[in-house]
Amino acid sequence: MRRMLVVVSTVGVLTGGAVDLAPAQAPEERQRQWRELTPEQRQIARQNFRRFQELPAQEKQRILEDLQRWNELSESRREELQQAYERFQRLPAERRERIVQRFRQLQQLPPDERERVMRNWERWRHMTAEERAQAREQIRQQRQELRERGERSNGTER
Amino acid sequence: MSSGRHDDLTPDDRDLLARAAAGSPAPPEPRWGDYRAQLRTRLDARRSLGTRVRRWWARPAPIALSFGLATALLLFALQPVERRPDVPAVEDPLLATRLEMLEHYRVVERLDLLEDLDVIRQLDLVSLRGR
Repeated sequence: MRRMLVVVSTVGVLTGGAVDLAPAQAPEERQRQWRELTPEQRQIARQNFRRFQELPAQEKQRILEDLQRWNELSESRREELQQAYERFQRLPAERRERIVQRFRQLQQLPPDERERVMRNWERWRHMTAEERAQAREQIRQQRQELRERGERSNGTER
Repeated sequence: MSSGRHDDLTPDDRDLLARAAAGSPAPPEPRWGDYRAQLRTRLDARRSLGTRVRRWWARPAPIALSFGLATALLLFALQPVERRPDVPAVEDPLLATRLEMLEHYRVVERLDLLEDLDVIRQLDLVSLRGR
């Protein structure tokens, strides 16, 4: 929880720059940012540095790429993502795990199927809360009907 | 061979030696002129400018090289302390303070999608009123 607070509190303060993949940040700028952290935040940052060093090379590379993407975002998009991250952190562990599983599922979809999902998502983003609720209900009913049909056909076969 | 000097020679030995010395040819006179000329040439060569420069360089060069290496080592060792007194080795505070978010970045940026993935996957199969 404390770590999350550190991240949340410093995101607003620290902007711009990146490592390796982006234009190098001036050492003076890094030192300035570092000085702005409280002793507690510095302590956590040091722990994070050590943790980062111990990550597998591929994971480090991914994180650096994502940091670069973050640095290129608009302020409003950063704000959105920050809120999404806070929401994610507040979810029960079980639900977070389910979301991570869905992410892996999504990664493994064939490209055309993934593209279809992305188109649907784009549509979803423009829907009102009422429309979303309506879509959820329709899909729930469709599933229910399919299940009942399946059960009936199994019963007939027997 | 001085006369006062004591040795074990008998008078016969002395006589023999004196006769042998009288019969041998006189040694040649040293050629002092040639010797002096050679010596002067060598001294002049040693005093020439090139030689002096070479001799001067031969001594300070190893000293300067050692000093330079020692300085470079010292600078290399002190540089991180002088330039970054407070910043850890991987010196991007942005990375450190956002590490946890970055670890979940790809999930977080699609959180809306992932929360309702089951519905969104089938969204194109349903028709909504007013759409």
